[in-house]
Amino acid sequence: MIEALLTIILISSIFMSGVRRIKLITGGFVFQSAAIGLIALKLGHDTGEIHYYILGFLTIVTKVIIIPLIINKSVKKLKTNREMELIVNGFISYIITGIGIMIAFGLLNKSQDNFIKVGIALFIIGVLLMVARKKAITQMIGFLIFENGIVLFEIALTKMSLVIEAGIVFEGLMLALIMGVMIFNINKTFDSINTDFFENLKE
Amino acid sequence: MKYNLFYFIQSIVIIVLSPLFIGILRKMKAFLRGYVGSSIIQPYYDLKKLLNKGRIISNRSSFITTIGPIVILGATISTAFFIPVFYTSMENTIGNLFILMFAFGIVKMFTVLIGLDSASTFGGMGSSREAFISMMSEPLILFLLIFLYIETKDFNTFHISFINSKVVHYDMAHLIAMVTFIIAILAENARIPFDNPETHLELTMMHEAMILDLSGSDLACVELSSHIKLLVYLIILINCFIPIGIATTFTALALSIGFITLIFKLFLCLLAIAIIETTFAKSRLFRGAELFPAMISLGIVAITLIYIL
Repeated sequence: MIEALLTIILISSIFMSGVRRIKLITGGFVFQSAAIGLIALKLGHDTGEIHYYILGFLTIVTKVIIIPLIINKSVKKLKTNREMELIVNGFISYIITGIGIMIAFGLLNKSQDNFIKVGIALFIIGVLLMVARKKAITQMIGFLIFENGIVLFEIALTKMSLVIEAGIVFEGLMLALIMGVMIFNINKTFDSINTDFFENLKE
Repeated sequence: MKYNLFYFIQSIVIIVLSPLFIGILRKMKAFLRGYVGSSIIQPYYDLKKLLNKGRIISNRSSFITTIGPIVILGATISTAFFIPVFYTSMENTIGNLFILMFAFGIVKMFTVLIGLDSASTFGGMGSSREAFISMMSEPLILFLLIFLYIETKDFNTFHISFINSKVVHYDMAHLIAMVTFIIAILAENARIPFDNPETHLELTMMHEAMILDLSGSDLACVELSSHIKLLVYLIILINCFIPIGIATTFTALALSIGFITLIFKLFLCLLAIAIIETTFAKSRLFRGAELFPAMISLGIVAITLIYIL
């Protein structure tokens, strides 16, 4: 069960690393977050600890329902639904992702914990989306993937307290809200959400 | 001896039934689109009609067009004998994965040559597209072969199926490789994200463009071989990756359970293909090719997981 959910996370995140349409990336993010929430709920069911349940519910409510709504709303307002000029194109993004994950798994070969490995794979993909894309909205989704990786990493470490877990989840939610407003303002100022235009000076 | 005879019989069953499954696939697609559709034994009628026609060959074409369709049909039929269908054992038989894939390579090469042979424009275009797609899908297939070898330490499909049928709990690498193989099947059989098998529209066709010059019994050979090829790929998927329920002992009960589970899994696979073909649109050639790096990346991840753990 958990293996199948981790498989869904890995496959959806690898697909997200090279797709251009923001709708597809959001769909992948929803799948990934739902799988992470279900993993937390399953672990809560297995171990009987209450903080897994809380983490699972918080993840599903914020990342499956609220954040995609915010993203879809801002995409509709911006009228940009795809990423046109990529810094690193789709072909090379996929290969970089594969090789990066291979190196990370190779370095982690002593560990028997699959959560840590998949978490590091999500770090790599999130960083790639943040660095190699130009539109601010894709960079925001990259950060959210990175943050999903932190949640998985944190599921693997059992000593974390509930306050920190709740903090991580709400931080993601606040980030999505703030970025939603910010991206709208960027669009108003520069007539585009391409971050290259930040170099232009305006009064 | 008894086992080998049974292997022979089960492969014959698959060859005979393959047009029926294509008919079922067409019926499923018609049902999903909301019309009645042709009967499920229509592919047999089509083959019969084509076989009754004569042979017309362009006088500009060379011996490739003369022998090509028969070679394609022969190579495809031979692949049906390399796979377990609903009974497998650890007996030493034919069934090497590499021979299987190279037989499919022969099919692909002759199809490309037939497209080029009569020097028509569409044939050349289809051949170049087919070669482009195969260039990407060959490394993928090789990755999956290496994956299966590392997982089971065996190259024989019968042995792989036997070993994997004893596994109760499949791990992450196995599931990732299975998803990758599903996309490889769609690419190899000219199915929808890469090519539309139904149209003869000049801008979209790949497989149909290459066999545009064939007619009559030649066309029947190629059509039958493409039917068998899809079935053989689906059975490799079923019996190498999810062989739950396959008969491993030679008793009537085990054999009937194996047969029923095989039919059930084939129906599921055909339904999945029908849903993919009705919901997705055919992607542009270069956009469709962007799927392959994703698949190769998944293959790398699967091999790393199985090799390191």
